[in-house]
Amino acid sequence: MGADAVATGQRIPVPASPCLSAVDGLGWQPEPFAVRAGRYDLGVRGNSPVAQELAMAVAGDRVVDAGDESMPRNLSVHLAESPPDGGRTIDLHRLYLGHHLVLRTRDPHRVLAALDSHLDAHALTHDPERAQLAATAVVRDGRAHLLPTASRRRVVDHARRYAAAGYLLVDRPWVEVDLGAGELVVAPSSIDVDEVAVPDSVATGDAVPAVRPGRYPILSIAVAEGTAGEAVLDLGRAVVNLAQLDAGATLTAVHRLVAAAAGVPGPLDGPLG
Amino acid sequence: MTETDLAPSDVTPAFAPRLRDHVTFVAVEDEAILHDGDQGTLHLLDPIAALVCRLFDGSATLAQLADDLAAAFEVPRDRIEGDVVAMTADLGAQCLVDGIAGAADGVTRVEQALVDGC
Repeated sequence: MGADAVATGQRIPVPASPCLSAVDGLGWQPEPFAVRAGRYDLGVRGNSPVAQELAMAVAGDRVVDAGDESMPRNLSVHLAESPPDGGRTIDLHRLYLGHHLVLRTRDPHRVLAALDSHLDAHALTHDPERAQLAATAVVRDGRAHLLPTASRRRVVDHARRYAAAGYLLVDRPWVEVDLGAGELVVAPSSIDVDEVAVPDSVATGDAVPAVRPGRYPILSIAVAEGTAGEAVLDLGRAVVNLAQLDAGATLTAVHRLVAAAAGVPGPLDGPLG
Repeated sequence: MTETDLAPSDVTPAFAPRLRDHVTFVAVEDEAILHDGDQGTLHLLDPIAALVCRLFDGSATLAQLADDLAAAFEVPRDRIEGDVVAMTADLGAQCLVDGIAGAADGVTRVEQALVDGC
């Protein structure tokens, strides 16, 4: 079943949960706008008219409806306001995927770039030879480490401490891997987000940098202890675009990758001390 | 699936199994993974199940497979036949074996990646 066989405009419902209620309670613009991302229409909302406008500028010609109250709240862009006295705000810019906090930063352009990456990832338009893994990726010294998706919140919450230890987070909902080469591929943004003019009302400050586009050899992969088959099963289930790939070749390549990779280093295996 | 497909509980030693066309067998050392291209699901087979599944060719019956396996591993034939029939019925119930009616579930990976966890 390929992506082409499925109609476009599908919505991805965000199920009600206490976590979603907590995010909803933060205060958002009432009408998300709808963005076409491959076969999906995603709802995007901002926490203020400025945030909504900037998010819409990033989505650009992918916007299919400028305001639709019925859209699921798939992506939520929270931009912190500059304090009126010009001092340093304690609030951070944030991006939520459904109810998941996926980024906190003082750099508004990084949030906008992450929004662009998330929209781009849902389009699933990348090289069909590459696997897209539901995983959290961090890069240190030019090498990539793949962690379970559930690790993202920990890395996001402690981004500065991980950065101090040299680990930078890849701002994507899933990561692209060249299985043959054993490399993480960080594609450049589809737009130049730095060109988006951010008004002075939005706070700025020193921020942990994002991982730059490029290819990073995969040094380690976190998989549950068990047999080789269990490891391949875990990682194979994380391949988001398996239906678009040659499954046999992909799983064989996943097996090679798991066999060659090390276990993740200690600092990635739990909260930093 | 067709109306002539067996219910998993009706699989007998006379049944000659083969994997459905949309199922890919991938060996992982002595284990194996089955990829169901229709449902987008993966199934891990332990070494014994992987070995049995390798022998599914649509012509050999489960009784014949039990003969071969009993001879190769020097274990009681009746016990092996029962295990092979049960394993085949179980794989069939998961829509993996041609001629056995199973049940499916259809959440896509993208949607699952979005809604997992809280």
